[in-house]
Amino acid sequence: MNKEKKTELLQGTLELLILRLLQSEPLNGWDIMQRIRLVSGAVIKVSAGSLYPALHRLEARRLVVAEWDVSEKNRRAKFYKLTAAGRKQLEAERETWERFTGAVASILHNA
Amino acid sequence: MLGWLKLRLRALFRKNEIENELDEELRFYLENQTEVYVAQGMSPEEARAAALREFGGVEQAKEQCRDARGVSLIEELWQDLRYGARTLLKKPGFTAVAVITLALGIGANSAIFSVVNSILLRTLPYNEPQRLMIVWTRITQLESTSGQTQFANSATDFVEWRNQNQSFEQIAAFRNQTFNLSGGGEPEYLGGVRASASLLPLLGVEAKLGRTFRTEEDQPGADRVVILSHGLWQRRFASDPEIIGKKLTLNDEGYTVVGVMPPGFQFPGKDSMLAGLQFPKRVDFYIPLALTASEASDRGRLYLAVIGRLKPQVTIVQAQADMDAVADRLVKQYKNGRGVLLVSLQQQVVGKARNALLIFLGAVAFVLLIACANVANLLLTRAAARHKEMAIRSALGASRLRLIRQLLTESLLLAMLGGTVGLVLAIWVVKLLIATGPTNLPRADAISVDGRVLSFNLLISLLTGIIFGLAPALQASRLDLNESLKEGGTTSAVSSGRNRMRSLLVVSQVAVALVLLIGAGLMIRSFVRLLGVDPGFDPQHILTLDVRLPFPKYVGPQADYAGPQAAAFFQQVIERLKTLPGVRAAGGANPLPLSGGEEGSGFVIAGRWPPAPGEVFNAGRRWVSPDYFKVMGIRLQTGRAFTESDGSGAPRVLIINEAFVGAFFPDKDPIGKRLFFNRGSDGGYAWREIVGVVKDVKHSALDSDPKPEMYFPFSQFPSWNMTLVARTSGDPMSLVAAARRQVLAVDPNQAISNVSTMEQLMDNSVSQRRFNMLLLSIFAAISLVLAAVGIYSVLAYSVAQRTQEIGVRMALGARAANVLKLIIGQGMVLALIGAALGLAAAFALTRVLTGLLYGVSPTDPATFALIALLLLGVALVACYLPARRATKVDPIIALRFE
Repeated sequence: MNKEKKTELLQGTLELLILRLLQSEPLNGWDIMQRIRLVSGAVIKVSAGSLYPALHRLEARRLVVAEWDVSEKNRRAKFYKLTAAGRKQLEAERETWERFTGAVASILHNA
Repeated sequence: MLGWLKLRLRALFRKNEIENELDEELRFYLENQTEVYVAQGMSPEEARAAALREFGGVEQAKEQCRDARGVSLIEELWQDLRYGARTLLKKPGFTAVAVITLALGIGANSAIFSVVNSILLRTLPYNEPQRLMIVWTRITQLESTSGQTQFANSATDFVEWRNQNQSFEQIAAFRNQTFNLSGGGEPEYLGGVRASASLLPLLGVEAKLGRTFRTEEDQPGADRVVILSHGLWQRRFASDPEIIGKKLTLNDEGYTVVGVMPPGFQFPGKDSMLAGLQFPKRVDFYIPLALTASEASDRGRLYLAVIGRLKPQVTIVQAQADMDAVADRLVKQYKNGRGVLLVSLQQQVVGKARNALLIFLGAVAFVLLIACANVANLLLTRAAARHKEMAIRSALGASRLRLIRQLLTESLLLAMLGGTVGLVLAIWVVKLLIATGPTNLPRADAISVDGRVLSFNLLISLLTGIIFGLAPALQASRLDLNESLKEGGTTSAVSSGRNRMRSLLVVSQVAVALVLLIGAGLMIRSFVRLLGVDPGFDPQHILTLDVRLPFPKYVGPQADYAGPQAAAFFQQVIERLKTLPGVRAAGGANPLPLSGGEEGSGFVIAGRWPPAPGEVFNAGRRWVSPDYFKVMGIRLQTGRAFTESDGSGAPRVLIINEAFVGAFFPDKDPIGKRLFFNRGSDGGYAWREIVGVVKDVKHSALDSDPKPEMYFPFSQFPSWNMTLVARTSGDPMSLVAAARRQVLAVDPNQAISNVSTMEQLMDNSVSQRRFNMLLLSIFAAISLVLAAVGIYSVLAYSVAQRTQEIGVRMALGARAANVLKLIIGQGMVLALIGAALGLAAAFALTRVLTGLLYGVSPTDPATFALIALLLLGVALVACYLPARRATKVDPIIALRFE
């Protein structure tokens, strides 16, 4: 597992991604993992080993709640759902993120 | 908030459920991923391995998930506690040694703290006690000769102070008064206090039953009222609730009970006041002071204690200045210089005990430090053994902080165990201290283990746990994963740091132990010197017993003084004692040396009356029977002793001691000189002629220098009290019954008290010093043992570590003697460095002992040298044992080792 060309996530970015993915529907860890891969292709490197602690951190901060449900393949899985606080947090962080990336981008392009 | 709480609580109590869920959640992922790989054509085994690899550290992820839940702090604490308890149980030997070591240290601290707490920290049980001041008379010209700064007060001065002062809200005088209680049971000898009516209100204490004195009862004639102590009321009157208004017979006169004091009220404490005032050990009752006109005009007799309550906002400094001004006016008025000294009641009560207590507190803190060093050493040894365990935990995802926390939890667990055992030890030691401690420990009855002591115990246990646990925990958790796992044992870098710390600990242990040992050594030397002091008399085979005659029966023509019948009584008893078989000589004295009694008289040497200011001197005064000097073995230096003919009608004479000659007749023959005395009651004077000089006697204490003393023949000034002394040929105590019969033969109603021997009185007089010495010696002994164990364990560990090296040396031809030298040298270098540091520290610190020493300088070179040698000797033994083990190393086995 060398670093290759994949981008290491910035601190807190993984949590932002998770919140965003949970915005439309409750998902389990496997689902989230697949979607990150799907959406970002092979650019962003996320391991399950860091995904699950992130989920648990979000749960401890009450930004998501977890529920046991049945997955598509009829197996018990833990599904995470965004809470109201989670939604608010997502909005705030997305704004910050866009401001930040906007600023970085404008420096990269114009400076 | 509720949801949060539920999550945490669930995490704490439904731990298994949570763990299972975590497992299931991760398994779900891994199985899905495995299926994906299988679908891609891998074999199931390969697929599973690939999924695990791809996941990236399942155990670490779990640990992080647990951390993420945040409850882990409590949960982990619980986990650490259980894990710690298990580890401690697995090594019972280590645990026992550590707990005992800590229990000794913490127990000693808690015990001494409970004494300090009760005596120094707890306030006196009176209303606003910080405003209470004891007022003493100062006699400057005597301070230089006797060192005494506090003198009792005359009634005249008390009345003048009461009228003239600006600083006190209230001021009261009190003195001792003993009475025979008769009627309704056995006659009994009671100790009481005569006090101004204002005394009890001034202290802010109310009667439990009835009332305290009224002002009009503080007058001669109206003063036949009594307030009982709670103890006497319970004991003698079976807690009679109807006692108020009943009459008691005290010294054959009727007194009406007006009040009963609350339980626990004791004022004044015998030992907080001047010994000469002879307050009873337990006050049984109070009666009004009721000064008569003649008493109030007697400025010569110093017999009153005075207490005042400062007005609010008045400081002791202002009050002292105010009273100095009053005293100056009195000097002009009475042409006799005396000063005033204000001492806060707290200071008066705690007195000299304060210094000693603080020293003990320091000493036990040292003991605790040594104990901490020992346990830290044990932990370091164990840390080495647990190196691999730490490495594995760390590899499994435990952070360094987490490891430190776990190790600290273990130390705290140890400390709390030690603290608990120490507390039990302390409770027991405190009981022992009270039972065997010196009789004059102030407020001894108030010493107890209370909430403050418990908190103290808890606090120092926690502190101790952190102190001895932190360094080893930091050491143990500092590890290089790869190195430790690869080596499977200790790496040289880590163990050298650890050894350095262990050596440092041993050096400081030795240093601190040496300081304590030198302190104890100085105290022991002082005590030995004290026991070797010549008291000025021969204490062997002397029986002593007190006789206190009832007041009215033996009153003389002058209302306040005993009459000739008192002298006749004592004369008859002494004559009868002389005839007893086994009695070689008999006599009497008041007060007896070392009995705690002190009396003094002012006198004038120049033949002029009234004297000019500065011409009146004071000296100790003793009333003795003619044979007293013979009984006690006090040598007559010049002149003559008293004879039977020095009676009431004969010329008035006195005998002085050598210190008196030194102070007042340095180069003159005192025999035949006359001294003038204030007669007191009428302001007139009387003279006495010096007929002899006797050897100095240690009257007040063995450790105080002899003061100028005067002896008067008791028949020329009879008193109610006398201590009879008899020199016997055998055991003095075997004659007690016979002596009592002789007293009863003269007066069948007369009780005797304080039966003792002169040797016992001497023994009592050094009890405080013996106690101090024993206590410090015990602390020093504990520290010596702990330090020896410390040296031993460090060397034993080092030998175990160096087995291979020693084996190589021996294989290369080193002999046992070389190995012995090598190991002992290693230990003794540490001991020597420690001893050098300890000597320096002791040199700086022992001066705090100055007040507790006698005849020994706090930096006595002989003590320093001897104790240092003793310590090094013990260190040598502690080094020898592991060194001998090193010589038994078999090179073959040692080389195969590893």
